[in-house]
Amino acid sequence: MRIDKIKVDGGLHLEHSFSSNNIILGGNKSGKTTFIKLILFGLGADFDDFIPEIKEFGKCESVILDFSFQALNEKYQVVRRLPKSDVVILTDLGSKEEQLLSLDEYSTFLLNKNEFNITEIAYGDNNKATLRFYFILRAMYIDQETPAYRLLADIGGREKDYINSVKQLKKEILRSLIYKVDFKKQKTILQLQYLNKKKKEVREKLLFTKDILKNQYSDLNQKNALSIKHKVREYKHIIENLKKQNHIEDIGIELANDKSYIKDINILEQEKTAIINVIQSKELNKRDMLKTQKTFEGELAVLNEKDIVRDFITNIPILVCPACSSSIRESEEGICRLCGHQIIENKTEDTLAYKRIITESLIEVRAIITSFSNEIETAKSEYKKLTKNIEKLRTTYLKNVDVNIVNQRINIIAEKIAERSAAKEYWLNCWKLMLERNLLQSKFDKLSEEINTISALILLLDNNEMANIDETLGSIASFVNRKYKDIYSDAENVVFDGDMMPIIGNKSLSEISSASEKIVIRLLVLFAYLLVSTDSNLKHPGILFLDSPRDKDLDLTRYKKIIEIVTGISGAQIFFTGSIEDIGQFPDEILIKMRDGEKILKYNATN
Amino acid sequence: MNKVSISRLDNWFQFVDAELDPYIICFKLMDALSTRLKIGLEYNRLDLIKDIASRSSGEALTSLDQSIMILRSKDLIRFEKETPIKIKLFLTDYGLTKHNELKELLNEN
Repeated sequence: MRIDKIKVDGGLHLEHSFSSNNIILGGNKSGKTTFIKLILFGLGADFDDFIPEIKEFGKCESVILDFSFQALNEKYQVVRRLPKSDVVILTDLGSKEEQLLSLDEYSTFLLNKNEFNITEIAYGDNNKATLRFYFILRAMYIDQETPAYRLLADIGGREKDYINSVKQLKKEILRSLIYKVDFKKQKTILQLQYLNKKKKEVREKLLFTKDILKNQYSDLNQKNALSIKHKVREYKHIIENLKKQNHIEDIGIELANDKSYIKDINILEQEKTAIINVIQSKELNKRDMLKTQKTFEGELAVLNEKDIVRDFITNIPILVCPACSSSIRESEEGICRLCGHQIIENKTEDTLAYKRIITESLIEVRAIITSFSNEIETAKSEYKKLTKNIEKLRTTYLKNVDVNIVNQRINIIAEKIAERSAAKEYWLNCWKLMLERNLLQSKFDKLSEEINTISALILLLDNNEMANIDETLGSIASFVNRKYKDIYSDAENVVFDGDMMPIIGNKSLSEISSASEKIVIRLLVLFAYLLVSTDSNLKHPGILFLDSPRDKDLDLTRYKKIIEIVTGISGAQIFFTGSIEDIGQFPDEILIKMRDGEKILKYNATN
Repeated sequence: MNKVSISRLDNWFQFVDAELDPYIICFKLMDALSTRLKIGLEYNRLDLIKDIASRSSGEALTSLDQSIMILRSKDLIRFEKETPIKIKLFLTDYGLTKHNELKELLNEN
């Protein structure tokens, strides 16, 4: 993120464009702090200690801030009314789209554009705070009011005093600056959730199937699916056999006393089979002939078409000489005027004999088909006659059989069939359930295995993430130590505790007696966050506001070193205010230079 | 059974490939050209015979040449040079009229 321009409207006004290093020098009460606060105000921070001209007399109407996100190639302008307003007007300078946002929405917008996760932070006894952009501003602003040992600036006025001092929040702010979202981990967690859900479903189904098997087939014992399948097949076979026996005629014949008729019927049946064979072979021959007939007819149609086309085309007079392409008049009788070529068209018919062959073959084929049809008809009528005779023979003999006995036999067989069918159904069901159970079990096992693998992976990614944060904290600590030892020759080692607060030697920041050391540590830590973040593409918005750090008892040589570090930072935007007396320590490029008595906010000429 | 009057010895092996008759090819070519009056067909003998008769033998090419000669001599088609090496065939207005007449005649039969 980069702030491009600020404009303050009203009786008191100012307008400045910004570059990477923006150094503002002036005397006491020249409005340096107000200037920084006005920028922060434009970014959504609240202040209840603006100068009276703004706070009480309303000399300034609004802050207009232009800022951009280079990575997204987007530019915005925000307008916020002074001295306090809960809404802002945000304009997309690309599309000129304007929208009115509440401070909450504006904060969400800035967090999103800077790629922060809007997380809920738990603190105290069951309290929750949602990450806001002004929390992040606290780590980007080194002010004069907040004691240096508190590291992060207190922004938001008196009403935010409590929330500003919450330890967990501070930790979360610092952590969010160096935290990189691990998309792989997020994805893996989602996958795990999905698999767990699926596993639960499969487990329920599996238990249900097992329950049914246990309750309905208590006699199952050690039987496996294969043996049950065999059982089902066995029953099927028995039922088929029983059904075969269940014909009145067959039972009747079996019960009849006179067996000689069986022989007669068998002879007739054999005759019947012979006739069927004859009919089948004739039908096949007939079908072949029909196919041949169709082929001949097709060929004949093509030949006829050819004749018509040939007739038609040969009757069209020749108008162009095929040899030289010049046109020929009819009177020239087929001799080309230009090249003398004689044009004779061959009108002789050469396919007559072939056509005759086809036509006569067709007649032959039709005759054969008719004869086949007749033969088939005769065979069929013979077949009918035979069938009738067999029927007659059967009924004659069945008359001698006792119907009651036959019926009794039939009933017995039907009962047997019903009984076996029920048993078959029972075991078939059992077999299906067992298959289902085995399938579900294997699915369940597979899912469990997959879940175990993914859980292990998540644990690994978790460790990686912790290691990443530890590594980043390590590089922050090494930067701070290097610079700290450069500024103080007797500097002790700086490490970070669990709350991400610096520990110097074995003292916390608040326990150090030297005020200048406190401010140096605070500056170095916040520089380190900015540098590490810009170096390794983490989330720091890349802006640092330093409001007159020297005012806090920093001696000149150390102050010089701090200026050296600040002006050496590349890839970030710095706003640095200081006393005009120290002008010699700063590089040549100074944004605003105010002589004694001069002020940054100027009255309109008309006033 | 009907009496067959053809001689198996003399006539049986006489075979005519009606599909490759130059006049049939004439008609098919006119058919193809009548559906693309504006674009025409590229005069590429191999492609043409493949499209029209679904074959590409020497006989087929001879038939195609003959049919193009017939059509051109009766002013039913015309050639147009698109580039020095690309020649296109088009149906003439006279050719279109004759094609329609022929189609009607075939439908009647």
